[in-house]
Amino acid sequence: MRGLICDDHPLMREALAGAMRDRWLDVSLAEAGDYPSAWTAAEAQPDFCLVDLSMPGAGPVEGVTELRARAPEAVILVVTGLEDEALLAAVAACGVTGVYSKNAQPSLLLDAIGAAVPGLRALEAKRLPPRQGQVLEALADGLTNKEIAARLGISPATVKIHVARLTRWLDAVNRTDAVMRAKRARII
Amino acid sequence: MDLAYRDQVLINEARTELKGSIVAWVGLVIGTAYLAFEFAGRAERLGFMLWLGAISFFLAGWFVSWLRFALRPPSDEAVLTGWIPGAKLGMTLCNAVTAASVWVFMPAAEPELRALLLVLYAWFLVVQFAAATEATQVLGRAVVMLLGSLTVWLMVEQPPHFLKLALLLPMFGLTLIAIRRFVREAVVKATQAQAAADASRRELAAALVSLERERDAKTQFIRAASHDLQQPLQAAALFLEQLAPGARAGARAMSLNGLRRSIGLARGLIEAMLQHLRLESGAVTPVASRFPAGELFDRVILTQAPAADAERISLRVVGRRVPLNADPLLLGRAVENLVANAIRHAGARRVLIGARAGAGGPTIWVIDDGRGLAPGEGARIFRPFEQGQHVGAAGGFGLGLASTLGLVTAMSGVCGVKSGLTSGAAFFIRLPADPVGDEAKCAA
Repeated sequence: MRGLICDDHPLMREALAGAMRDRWLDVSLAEAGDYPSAWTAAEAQPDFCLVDLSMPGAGPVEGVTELRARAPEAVILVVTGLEDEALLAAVAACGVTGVYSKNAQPSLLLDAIGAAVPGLRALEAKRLPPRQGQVLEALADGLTNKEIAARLGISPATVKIHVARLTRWLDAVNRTDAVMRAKRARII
Repeated sequence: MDLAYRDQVLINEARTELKGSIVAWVGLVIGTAYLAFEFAGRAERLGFMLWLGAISFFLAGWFVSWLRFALRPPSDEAVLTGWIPGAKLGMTLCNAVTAASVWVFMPAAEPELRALLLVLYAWFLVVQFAAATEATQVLGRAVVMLLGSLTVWLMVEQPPHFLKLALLLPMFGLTLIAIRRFVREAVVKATQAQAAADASRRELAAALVSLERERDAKTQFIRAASHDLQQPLQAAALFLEQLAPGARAGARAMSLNGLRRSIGLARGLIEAMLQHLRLESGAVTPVASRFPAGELFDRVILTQAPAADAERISLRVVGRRVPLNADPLLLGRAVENLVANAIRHAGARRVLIGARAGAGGPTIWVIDDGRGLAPGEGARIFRPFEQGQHVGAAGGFGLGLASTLGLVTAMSGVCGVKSGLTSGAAFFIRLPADPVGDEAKCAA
């Protein structure tokens, strides 16, 4: 999983990259501090780009449009401190998947990034405790709690706790939804 | 009334009048044709021909001038210096010819026609009175010439009732001039009121522009402040997120370091903003004292050497003995800003801080061997929230150089940047030779 962080503030780049590496261990991140560098880095076809709009080298719309052209398959997410609604609407129309405020709580911002970029959840799954991973696979096989308990040699009550945690972690409404979401996020 | 404003009013009036004068020209042509027809057979021939020739010449000249004016409208300058005096001369000549016509028509007319002629002459004056503007008005001359000519003719020829008529005509003329004067005063007052209203409008517009500029500066300050302050705070929040329990020791150390730098950056920004606001509000009052440049350099080295060492930049000073007469704290901050700027953004390996005495006052230089400035950046980078093309990895707020400019200006000095002395940039602060202290100001 390869990403590109574009922000003219070096400390912000470092902080965002650190927080992403912290959550998604195997993500590989490149950085750019202005639009021309971002365009060049985008030619390496990253899976996603996080873009701060106010960077030297181009205007926001021009900058994002060129980024889109250089990396047509990448998920582009705008993470900006700008609040000009007209500008954000114009940028959103340039093939951007999501626009997020820099003022958002870091955990929410990371959640939003994780939800918007397919594959990041899969990386996150690597941090699932092994037992929960096994429960998720058993859920995907369509087993009941009792059957899972029997397969893993644990009590049905423990299985129930694992299922509840998995459902909450995947923002799912029930176990079927949890399996669907896990498959969509390439966790299983 | 403002002279330029008065001239402009005259020019505008004259343009309207000259353009519309074709109507008066047509009226005069009709009047002339009637008189020519009426008196062709009965007036004394030579006098009649002279009058007809003169008035025809005048009417032809008027028409040609009007055509030229309408087809090629002249400049304001030409209207003021050429057309207005020309129109006055033309009106005077027309009145002179009309005054002379008294001696052609009156002797040839029977009493009833004379009465009609008198009415026509009075009508001619009234039309002038009503139609001519301030710019081309020659009513006084017209009254004197035409009514004077009529009165003299009456006194010489002594027709019936000549004495009463000879008294009535000057009274009529004086009445006309008096009314004209009243009208003129009213017009002057109205024009003055208009000028005052225009001046107020201009002042109001200027005040609005100034207010808008001030508002824009404040908006820019708030926008820049919120944007710039947001970055380190958000970075700090992200670093904090990585300090969650269970984080690896290496990651914790990196996050803590990032957190420390973010908070340091935010604090630096707040200090810079406060200084900017103090300078903007004029709350900074320099207190000058005499000291050698070395003292200033020691302070600058003390505060800037750690950052320079971290970037492996060598700081060197020359001209320690140059005497300075300035506020040491303000000057220190101004030079610190220049040196910090060179360390952070110039990409330099060496920075030279120097002082040199001069006839116009001492100059302090901060010269680096970095990238130098892009063309046209020299003036821009001294404006608040403007940054050069190259911003160092530590970031920046665009307030350091603006603050230096404010501090130096508060000390009645000048500052700027030159390139070409070295491969990088050479910033300078020139102090006044003998700054006027508070005591001196009070004494003066």
